[in-house]
Order: sequence, then structure tokens, then C-alpha cells
Amino acid sequence: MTIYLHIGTPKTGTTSIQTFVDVNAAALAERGFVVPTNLGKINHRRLVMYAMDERHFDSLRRSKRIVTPESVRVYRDKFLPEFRSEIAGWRPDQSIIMTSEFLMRLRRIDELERLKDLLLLTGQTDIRVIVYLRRQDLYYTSGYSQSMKGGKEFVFAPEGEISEAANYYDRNLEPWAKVFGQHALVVRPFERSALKNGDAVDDFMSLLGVDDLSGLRRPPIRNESLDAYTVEFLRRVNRFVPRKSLGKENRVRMRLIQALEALSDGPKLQMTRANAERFLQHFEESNRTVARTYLGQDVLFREPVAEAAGMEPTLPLDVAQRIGGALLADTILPRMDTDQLLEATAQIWNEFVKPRFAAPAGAAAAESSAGELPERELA
Amino acid sequence: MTIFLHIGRGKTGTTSIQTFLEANGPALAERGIVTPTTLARRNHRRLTMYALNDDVVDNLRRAKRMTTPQSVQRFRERLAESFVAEAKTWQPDQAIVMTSEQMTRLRTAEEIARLKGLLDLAGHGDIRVIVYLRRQDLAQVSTYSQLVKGGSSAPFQPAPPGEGTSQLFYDAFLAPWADVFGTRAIVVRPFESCSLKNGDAIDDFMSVVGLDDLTGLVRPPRGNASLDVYTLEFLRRLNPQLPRWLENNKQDRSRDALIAVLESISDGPKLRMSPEATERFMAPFRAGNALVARTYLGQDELFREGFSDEPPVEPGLPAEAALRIVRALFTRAIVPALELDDIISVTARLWNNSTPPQNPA
Repeated sequence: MTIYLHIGTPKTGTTSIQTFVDVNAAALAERGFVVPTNLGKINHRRLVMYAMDERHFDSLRRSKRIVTPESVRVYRDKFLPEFRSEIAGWRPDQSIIMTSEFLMRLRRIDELERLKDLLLLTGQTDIRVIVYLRRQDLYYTSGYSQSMKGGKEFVFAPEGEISEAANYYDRNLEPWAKVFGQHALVVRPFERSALKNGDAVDDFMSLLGVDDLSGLRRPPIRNESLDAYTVEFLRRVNRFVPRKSLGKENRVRMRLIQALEALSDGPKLQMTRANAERFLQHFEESNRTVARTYLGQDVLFREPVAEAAGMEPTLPLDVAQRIGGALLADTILPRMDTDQLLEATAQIWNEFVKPRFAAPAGAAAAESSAGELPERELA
Repeated sequence: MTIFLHIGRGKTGTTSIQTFLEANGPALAERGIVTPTTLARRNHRRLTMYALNDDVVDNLRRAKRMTTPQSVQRFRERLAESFVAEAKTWQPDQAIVMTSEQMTRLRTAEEIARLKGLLDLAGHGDIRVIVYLRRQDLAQVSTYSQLVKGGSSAPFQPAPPGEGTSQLFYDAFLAPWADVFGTRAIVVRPFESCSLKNGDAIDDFMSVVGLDDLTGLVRPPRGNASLDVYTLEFLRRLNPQLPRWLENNKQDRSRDALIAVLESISDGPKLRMSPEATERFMAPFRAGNALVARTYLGQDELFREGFSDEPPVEPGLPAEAALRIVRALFTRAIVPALELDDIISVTARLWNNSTPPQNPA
């Protein structure tokens, strides 16, 4: 039947779609879809690790200690028979769902051809490449938040992000069209008004021909967005709480991020209208090309740049005190034992509070009866 | 003109009385009760600084850099001069109220006589020495709390009477005061609910100085509240890292803010000796207390309230109490004092300290 290859892009509901597909794998099988189990849990990242150029070592490969061309070849040699063995169990009348937004990391023709050759091993030749595209200002904003969660420290400045590598979607899709054919590409603008029921999962499943989702489970999606305050708080904290320590991923850092997410009830992170409009000018032509080439229309994104309902990252002192106070009281201090609590109190008090009470030079020492002792000492 | 000299003792409602006098200064003056202004605000500690022997450098004198006999002498001359000037404004029908529990630091007849010498400069008035006495076991517990507030890190031990409790032998404590002022000048008040007028220190004190109707006067909120066993133990353990005295003989005033937070959340059990420990502790004081009762009150017993039969409460710091205390300190006192960059670095530092790499679970 058909291979549905969902390649992202990131920040377009991919986690929702992947989780939905994962938890409903058995039910989908009854409806004629297979979801591979050997390509990575939920996110089929092993496709990327397999197909990527052997001289390229991204975070996926590094996390598996694949850091030399030789180790890439070893990986592929091990992966291939596993893949063959899994596809041996699939029937020709089944369609296949593969999904990983990391696939967008494949940009070279030979990488995509390696991927295509792999997929052809299934015996299926009808391959649909599904890609959701998000308006660039929204993508930048969402990606910025993600970068801060990933430990970055750069300030929110979209104009600084205009480069060859930016989201010129026409360029990014070109190699996919070359390898899989322009008509194989299913391009979907990621906008509420363009999505079926305004929903990423509904829309994706509809592309697969599944319009009735009754009986399928909807895993709850945690609201994990940071607001304009917590994102700036995190950016500033990142300098002191590195994502990696001693070469190892600092996993508990995730808890700090979750605590910040839970505290995110302030203004939504959003580019100002003026900044968004200026930023989008860079992509106008590219977006028009994508719309004409893949959608047969003139405009890729129809929703207007929002009125300023949100805010760019900022951190007023009182908000910082509220966030810091809540993090300390509810997340950090409860992790300490009594000795650590005493030590922390003494340290921070001596360093930050005590100096504020020191009498200015030359002023007479204040008299007070608080803590007065019946003490008497000889000089 | 009568001078009422309120000498404490500490932990017998002195802060309440002093705050009441200060808050109602003008209103009391209209009723003929005057509180001097030359002896320091609220607590007239300069009386003690004046009367202590030349070689004593206590925290009062240290705070004022009075560390040599010469500086003590200069202080006395200046104080006497301003005191006399103020005394000239007092009327024969007025009652003059002086109050400072630090006067209990005067222990020799020589020091007390020096104090009387200063008061006599005001003219030949009648002087009454008012002293509230608290049952010794309760005073001991209360003093311990005060010592910890003052910076001590010694654990609580209901010490047998001896070195540390000599001040609690009230007959001996009162003897030099009686020698100098005369036994009849000493007004002894047991500090117990059943003995105080309306069970209240302020009502009782004002009644002693001749004012029974306090309508129209302001009642300030209670100060110097006692700590519960959790905040008490927390502060005791914190004290070695938060010394009360800074360089240059200055006190660390930030401790007041810290203690204020601790007091505000002290709603747990208070320190209490066991009935057996109380019996043991009180035994050596019985004879002296009886003597004080007979000499100054014309009665047989000084204290009337029975010993509590409640179980003892010892200082302790369970983990959840420590967390509650530190949370309160951070949210009420520490974080509001921080600048933006400090909030970030403090949060990050404590986060890192609280997440040992070997325990990522």
C-alpha cells in the first residue's frame, strides 16, 4: 500500500501525532496500518541515524557514541538486518506510518536517496512525504523556547537568525522533491484554520484516510510552554545550570524546566507585531514559491500576524522574585535535607541579606533590646 | 515626686511595658506620668551604661565604643548633665517612670549606689524599685530562648543551680538593691497570671505606678514573642554561621529580621521541662523564694501557680519543620531582598547544590 513518512517539521504537533500513533498502534493495525517498533520509541529517529552522511555527527548520533565514520558503518550494518527482519512480518496490503521530525536534518541528496532505498526494501513504492510548515515568526518563537530548554543563552533576536540555514521552506523541501518526486510531498500549513478541526492529530490521520477516530485513545498533552517571563528566567539560569556536567546530560535539569512550565501563567511568548512583520518579509518569496509549487495557491500562511496579545521575553524584578521564590519554596528547598537547609540559609543570608543591614560607615550602631542578653563581660 | 524604677527582670513583659509607655508618652504625661527622654528611647539602657563599674564592657557599652574607663567617665558626665536638665522640668505631683531590664546587670552595691546617686540628682524624691520575678524554671526556659536569639548555640540543659543560674536566687539578687534603696522601696511582683492585675503585665505595672484606668491608651502589638521548639532549635543550629557580632563591635542587625520571621511562624509547642525536672530544678530555690515572699510581700509563698503536669517538650528540628522554616525565610526575607541577577544566581546555586550528580533519580 503506502508509506506515510512524516518528517516534521519540529514544533508542529509532532509529539502529539507520534504519541497518538504509538498508543493506538494495535487499533491502527486493525485498520490496516503498521507502526514500526524497531525505529525508535515513539519517534523513529533511527531512520535519521541510518541515513545521515557518515561524516555528520549530530546529537542523535553523539548520544549513542557514534562519532566516527567507522562507527556509522557499524551502526548501519547492525540496523539493516534488524529492519529487514521487521519488515518481513508486514503484509503488502498494509500501509506504514513512519514519523520523526529529525528527518528534516537530512538535507543532502545522497542522504535522502539512502533513506529512500531503505524504504523501498519494504516492497512499497507509494511513498508520501508529509510535512507541516509553521509560519516562521511562530516557529522562531516556539524554537526559541525550546532552545532555552535545551540550555542555550542567546537573547530573543529573530533578525539575528536570518541565515542560509533559516526556514526558507522552498530550499528545505527541494531535495525531498528531487528524490521522492514533487507530487509525493504533502505540504500542510500548520495553522488552526488550515488543520482539520484545527487539530494536528485529526489532520494527520485524515491525510492517512482515517477520518473517524472514535475508539482511539487521545493521550493528554501536557501544556509545556514557557511564558515571556519564565523563558527569560530560564535563559539567565542556563549559564549556571548547564545542560551537561562532566560530559553527561544533566537530567535533573528537566525538573527545573517542568517547574518553570508549571509557573508559566504570564503573557504568552510572542514576537511583537512589528518585529514579526519585519521578520516575515525575509520569507515572503520563499513561502510563495512553496504555496505555488506544492499547493497550487499563492499564499502559504493565511492567518494574519496577531495583534500584540503576547510579549517578547522580559523579566521585571517583582516577577523574578515571584518565580525564584516559588522555585525555591516548592522545588529546590524540598530536595534538601536539614543540614543542607541550614547551610543554604546561612550562606545566602550572609552573602545577600546581611550586607543590606550593615550600618553605613560612621553611623552610630543602633540600640535594640531584641535579643538582648543578661551578659556581662570584662574588658 | 516619685520615681518608679522598673528593673525587669528580663522576660517578664518588659518589652510590652516599655512599648506601651513609649506609644502613650503624651497621653500619660497628661495623666501625670512622665517617661524621661535622656535615658534612651523606650528602654532606658543608659542608666545601666552609667552605673556599671568602669571596667565592665558589656554589649551596651561595646555598641557605643565605650571600652575604656575614660570613655565611661565622659559618658557619665554628659548623661548626668542632660539628666539634671530634664529633671528640672518635672513637677512635684508627677510620677517619673524609668524602665530597663538591663539594670539587673548591676550586681554590686557599688554599682547600684552609683545608679541611686544619679537619680538623687533629680531632687529628693521617693524612689520605688519595681521588679517582676518569674518562677525560676520558667525563667530558665525563657532565658534559654533569649540566649539563642542572642546568638548562643548551646543546647538546652536545665542546669542545676550554680554558676549559670546564680541570678535566679532572688533573695541574693535583691539584697544589694534593698541595701541601697531600703527594703521598703522594693516592690516585688510575682510574674504569674494569677498574681498580675487582669493577668496582664501592662495593667499590673500601670496599677503599681498609680494608673488603674487605661481607657483611651494604645495597646501595641506584642513584641519579643517566644520561639517554639522548632524555630528555637533551627536558630540554635544556625547561630554558629550567623554570628551576632560583626567586626568593629557592630551587631548584625539582619538577625532581627531573621528572628522576626521565626517569631511570626512560631506556632508549634514551646519548650517545657518535665514535672520531675521542674521539681529537681526548683528545689534549691525554695528557701530563698520563701524569704523573698516574707521580706517583701509579707506572705509565705512567692509563686502560687502549680507545676505543669504536661509532658516535657524538648527542642527539636524534624525535617518537615526545617523545610517550613527555611521556606518562610526565603519567601519572606531573603528573596525580597535580592536583585535580579542575585535571584538567578541564588536559584541556580541552590538548584545545583540540591541535585547531587550521583542521585539523579
